Amino acid sequence: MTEAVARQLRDGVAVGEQAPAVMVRDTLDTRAGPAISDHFFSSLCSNIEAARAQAKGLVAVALRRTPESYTVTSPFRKGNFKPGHWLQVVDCYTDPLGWNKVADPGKEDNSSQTDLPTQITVCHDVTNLTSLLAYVLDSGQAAVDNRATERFVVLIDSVSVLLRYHTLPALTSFLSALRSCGQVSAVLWLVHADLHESRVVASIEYLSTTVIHVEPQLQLPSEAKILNLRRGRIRVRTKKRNGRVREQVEEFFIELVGVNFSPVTLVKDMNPPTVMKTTTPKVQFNLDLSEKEREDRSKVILPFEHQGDGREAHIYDGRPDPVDSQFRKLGLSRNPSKDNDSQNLGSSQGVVGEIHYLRDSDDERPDSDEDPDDDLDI
Amino acid sequence: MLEEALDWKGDGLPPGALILIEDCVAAKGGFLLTFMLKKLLTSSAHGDGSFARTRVVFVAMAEPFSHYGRIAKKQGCNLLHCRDNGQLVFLDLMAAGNPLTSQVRGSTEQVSSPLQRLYQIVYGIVKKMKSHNASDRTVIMIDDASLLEISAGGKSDQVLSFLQYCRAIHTGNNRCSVVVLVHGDTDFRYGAAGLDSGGYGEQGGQTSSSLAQELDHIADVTISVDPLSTGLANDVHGQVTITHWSDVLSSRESRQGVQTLQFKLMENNTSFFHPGGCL
Repeated sequence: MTEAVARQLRDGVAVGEQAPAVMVRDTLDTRAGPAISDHFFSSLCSNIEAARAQAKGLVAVALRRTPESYTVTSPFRKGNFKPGHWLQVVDCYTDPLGWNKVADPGKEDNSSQTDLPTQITVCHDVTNLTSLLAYVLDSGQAAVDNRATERFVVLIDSVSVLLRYHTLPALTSFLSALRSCGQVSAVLWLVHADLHESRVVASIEYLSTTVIHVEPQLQLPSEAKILNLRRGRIRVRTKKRNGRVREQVEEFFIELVGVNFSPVTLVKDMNPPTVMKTTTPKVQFNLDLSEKEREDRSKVILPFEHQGDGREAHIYDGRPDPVDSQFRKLGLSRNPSKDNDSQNLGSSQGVVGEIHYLRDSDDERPDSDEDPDDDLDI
Repeated sequence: MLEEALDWKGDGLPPGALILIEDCVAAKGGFLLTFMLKKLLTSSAHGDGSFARTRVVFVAMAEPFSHYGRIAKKQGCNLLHCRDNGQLVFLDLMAAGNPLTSQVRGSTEQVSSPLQRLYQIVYGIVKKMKSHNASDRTVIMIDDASLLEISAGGKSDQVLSFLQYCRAIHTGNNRCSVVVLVHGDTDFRYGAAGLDSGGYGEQGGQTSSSLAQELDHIADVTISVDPLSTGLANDVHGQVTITHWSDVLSSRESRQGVQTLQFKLMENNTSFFHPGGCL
């Protein structure tokens, strides 16, 4: 399922359509959203590098993370890819409001020119979305070597930060402008859903073709602490072009080298013996049965079971046994030897089938009308 | 014990990290600031040549310098000495001539908000600090962000921008790291239809963002200070819950995710121990 999302990002836009947009939304209960979007980012990077993707370049808009975290290879990424110039970063982290220009006018400009690698473009005014869009498109041009026919992917690492500076209408028009831009192949963004009103999140969800809900494994009450930050599940809701919506759930586990996805395991799919084993208390002796012991136990014939002649057990319900009666009609005894035996037995003991019962005491009257619970005071 | 839980090697904080200390009325978290301040200053004081020094810029809005000086002195750390040799810069915003309030008079500067003015001051200080080594690290400690929000006129966006700017300052090879204290209970976190009623679906979105919650989202490590959940006790003064959101302060193998420790504040020390453990 996550492969489908990665494929969607790889395949990019169809002719005459808006670019697909993948939205990752998380809350404070997992905060694994960055890791999940990192996963798609790295798979996209390897696709672009191997020229498997429709896009030939990638523009990362760094709002919540340092621009270095994109250009310098981090151990989190799978493989050791060295980002080339196809990866461009629009740095909205260092100076989003232009304070540095005021604080240190000459010096800051110099440092932005010399220290930073050419991959990074610093945006000094995030409050102006038009200029931000221009920065993104310029970086995209640089990523694809100014070839007008090639496309690029845009990654916005936190829409929540943009929502700090902008109203919802401005932001949605920015996002749809990005999507409808001819050179944009796909857009990937991350939203912290619990920071905004539900209508804000919903309107951004309307703009996205795929929404990935990142959720904790258990639904905890708001006060409870998180049990495992590295585990959780994702709910992927994909909107097809024809309007069909598909939703799937997968579990994830954040590991050293990336995120592992696995299908959800249900309790009923679990192996019962293993469940049993976990419930046995820890004692010095063995409470479990070995395979041979289990086999032997299954061979033991319990006293109430029909023994001896291998016949099917019939419970006597007052009517004569149909099989026996048929035999009798024919004048045959089916089991003569046994009949003889029982006759012998009967003659030797005198009485057959008698029940001896001794009353405990004479106080107890059989079949008395007295209520046995009479003395109970309810 | 706290260092272990933080997985803090003692050589300053990793560059660009944001450590959030979240406290409440019933259990104040100021002692953690003193604790970390002392650790940061002393870990580099007796280091040899190869050891990177940690410089601290302390933005104080809640308590004056004498308060921290006195506590640190009892714990065996002379803040005056550190201040004199330039390792610690104490920015007392409670003193007369508070730059946040007096900026109205300085009309020549083009600043749009008090926090931008504060950022300029911090930026100037960090750039002016003497650096012996390019790998020296700078930590900006803020006490506390809730008061910053008040001085920004209740705009949490500006506080977040300010903190982001502080984290983005380049000194030598590294960016600054930030330790910030925030009150978790001064603004409500979840609305009436909070997570309890709505679950994680679309209905649960009726939440209002608050400063503490926003900070939780950007913090690398959150240390939340709570009173003892079982009630008051003589020997235990409260508990801290350490949450590693990212891996800046811990390697992935050793990362526990969430860990809870209890503490006792003593005259000249703070002791941390596992719940149920002894002092």
